[in-house]
Amino acid sequence: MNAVRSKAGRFFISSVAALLGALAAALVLGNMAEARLVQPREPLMGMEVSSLYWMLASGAMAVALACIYIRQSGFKLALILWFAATVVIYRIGLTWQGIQGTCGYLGSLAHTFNVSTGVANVLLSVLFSYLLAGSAGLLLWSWLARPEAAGFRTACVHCGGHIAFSPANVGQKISCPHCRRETTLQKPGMLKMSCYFCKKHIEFPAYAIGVKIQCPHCKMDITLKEPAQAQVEVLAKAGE
Amino acid sequence: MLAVGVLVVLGWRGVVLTAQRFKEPTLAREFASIRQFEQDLNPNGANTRLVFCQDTKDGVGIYYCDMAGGKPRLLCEQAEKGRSWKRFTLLGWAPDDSLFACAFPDKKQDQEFILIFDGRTGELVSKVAADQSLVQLGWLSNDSFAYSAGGNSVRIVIKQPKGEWAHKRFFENVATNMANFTVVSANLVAWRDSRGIMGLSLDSGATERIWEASTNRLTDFSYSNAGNEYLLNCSDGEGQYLLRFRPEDKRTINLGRISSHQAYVRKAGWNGKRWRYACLTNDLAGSAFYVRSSEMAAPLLVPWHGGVRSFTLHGNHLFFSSDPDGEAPGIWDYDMSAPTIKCVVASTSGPLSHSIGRPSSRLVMTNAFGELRYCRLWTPPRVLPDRRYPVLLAQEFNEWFPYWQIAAQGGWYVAVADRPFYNSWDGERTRTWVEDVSRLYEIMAQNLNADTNRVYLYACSAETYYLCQFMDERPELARGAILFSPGSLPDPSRLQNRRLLLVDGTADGDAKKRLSEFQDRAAEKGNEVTLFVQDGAGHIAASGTTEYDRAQEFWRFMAGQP
Repeated sequence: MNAVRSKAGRFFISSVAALLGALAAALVLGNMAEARLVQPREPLMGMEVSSLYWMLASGAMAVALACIYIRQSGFKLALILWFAATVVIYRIGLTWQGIQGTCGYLGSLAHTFNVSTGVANVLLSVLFSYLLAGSAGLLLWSWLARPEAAGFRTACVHCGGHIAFSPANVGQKISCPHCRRETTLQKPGMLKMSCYFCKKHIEFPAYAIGVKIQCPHCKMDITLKEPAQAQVEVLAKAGE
Repeated sequence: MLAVGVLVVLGWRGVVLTAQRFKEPTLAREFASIRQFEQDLNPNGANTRLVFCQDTKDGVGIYYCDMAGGKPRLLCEQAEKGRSWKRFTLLGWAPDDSLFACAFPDKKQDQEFILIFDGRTGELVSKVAADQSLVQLGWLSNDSFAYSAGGNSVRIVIKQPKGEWAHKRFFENVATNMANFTVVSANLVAWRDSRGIMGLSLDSGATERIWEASTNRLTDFSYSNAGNEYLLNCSDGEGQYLLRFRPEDKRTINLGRISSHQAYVRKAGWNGKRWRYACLTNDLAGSAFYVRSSEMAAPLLVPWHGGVRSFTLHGNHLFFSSDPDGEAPGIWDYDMSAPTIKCVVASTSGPLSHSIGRPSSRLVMTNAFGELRYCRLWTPPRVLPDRRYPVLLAQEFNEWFPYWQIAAQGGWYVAVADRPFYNSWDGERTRTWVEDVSRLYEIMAQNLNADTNRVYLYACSAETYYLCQFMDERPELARGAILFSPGSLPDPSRLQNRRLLLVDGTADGDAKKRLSEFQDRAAEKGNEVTLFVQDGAGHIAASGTTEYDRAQEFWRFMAGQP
């Protein structure tokens, strides 16, 4: 989810929170200001447009709050995508039903803010296009930039566990996904040795020579050594 | 960021509200403070006191006014809520002016009450429960009166020795379509039906045909006791004319045709043995009364700069409710013997510093039928040469209508063709709404400041049929429409990307359901339909509150993005 943590991703999430908050406020104000007027019924579900506004406002506010308070970036993007897609699918449904434009249902919103229904329609279309395209784009970016697809692999200097990462993140300090200790993502250039006890294969970066770790296979404490020296030790052990 | 988004929207809404707040008091608020006059004006025999009907805050009231300068006094009030059509029935003055009466339905609307007031003080004297279908009343004497009920029956109410009033006689099913109920003598009443004048003897209960229409149509009639003559107000395809009719020898005398098609004889009556009538017509200045009587060699012309709602000729006095140019409506008294004119009752207690004062300019045009029409044109407060302004077109009676002023103050051109008065009573003549408004459109299209892409139409009640016909035939001409209490609605399949304001009341039949269904269908075609159904209001707005709410909504619609 590095795409989300990027500058563009952070800006998108923040702007979505602001825009959806604004949309929710606009819908609520529209409903309150035009409460004494009879609103048309929307044709798909047969409910009054004011009820649809309340639902949409609740949804928009919930997504906006999620953008602020939820930490999982992927979930935020998925939520935005779901919300925008729902509205877009609803709009396609209206067209499918033969409804000619949504201007007839935007009167209360437009009157409240003294704009024409055409302008309100354009603003809403732009907003949901932005939500849909932005969230889908960022999710796609995250997927393409996922570590598995990046190709760089390293091993934790503490536990030896494998870590895949993007070339762009070389040099970053991260908490190891296996042992949770801080480790630095280094360019690949891995040494190999066999565990002194279980003889199973261990890969480690060159700078980790001399570091004591638990063998990821047999969990015995071993010291990472240059492969040649390790080979000598293994042979010596065999001679004994 | 969430807070920023919400604050931006709140700020925007705040700006819109502030802008409305600054403009609204000059428009809807002041216009809504104008209480409009309803129904006919009822002066007493001596023309010293007047009973009239006027809107109150919550409904309609009967007011009593001493014309020597006394302040009008509210005698009784009927709240508007939940009522449709029904208003007070003004029942007139007793022969010696000692009493006057009016009728109003009770709250459950299952019966009517006749209220009898003291003619000198305006105090309530007695209250009689009457049939719900009460229509008109005629005084037989100072102690008895007859009234018509249900269009087919006559009832007699007599004052009892102890002072209370009680029903004494009933004549059921003696007529069909009874109208113009008139007392001819203490034992004979007459009325108009589809064929002419019928009479009922209160002694025998027998009915007889007094006068029968042939090629003409009887619009109205009155009777002179002193002369034993009827004055018949008739119409045919060519217009209106008056006849004198003497029942003793069945002789009729034609008093001549009313010259103009625009002219309108509301009520012809007698002054002692002499006949006289007043005729209202539209003209280039606004309105004009022509008063004719057997005493005058030539008709008396009374020009009036403004619209007229109703008028009553009584003796030498002409009473009318009207709005002179640049002023709020009032009741005016024109004394033909002096001659002087004075305002008897004003509709507002204080000055209307913002709203009133935009008199219209007058135009003359000829419609597609070749008929002459006078029109009123209001322009926006400030017209910039390089700007184009939206246009509102209508055909309406030349009388007080606050919505023209609201639209004009809001930056619209408002062009209204004066509706011929025969529209109100003559069902045989073609209504010319479409022809008049089409011609108005052509005139406004020549105005460089009028935006013909933003033309709106207005119609109310039965006239909405013609508006819909216009929109169906020429859907490209109008960007939208305003329909008050619509009897007809446009075909939604022919409308696209149009703005409509529909206003009606919950007490107007099934208006809410009917209009909601139309709104749904029209919205599916991309039309923006603003539907305002006023709680408790009927087909006609009949209270200050309803008028204020309606004016506000009208203003919002007009001030929106047209």
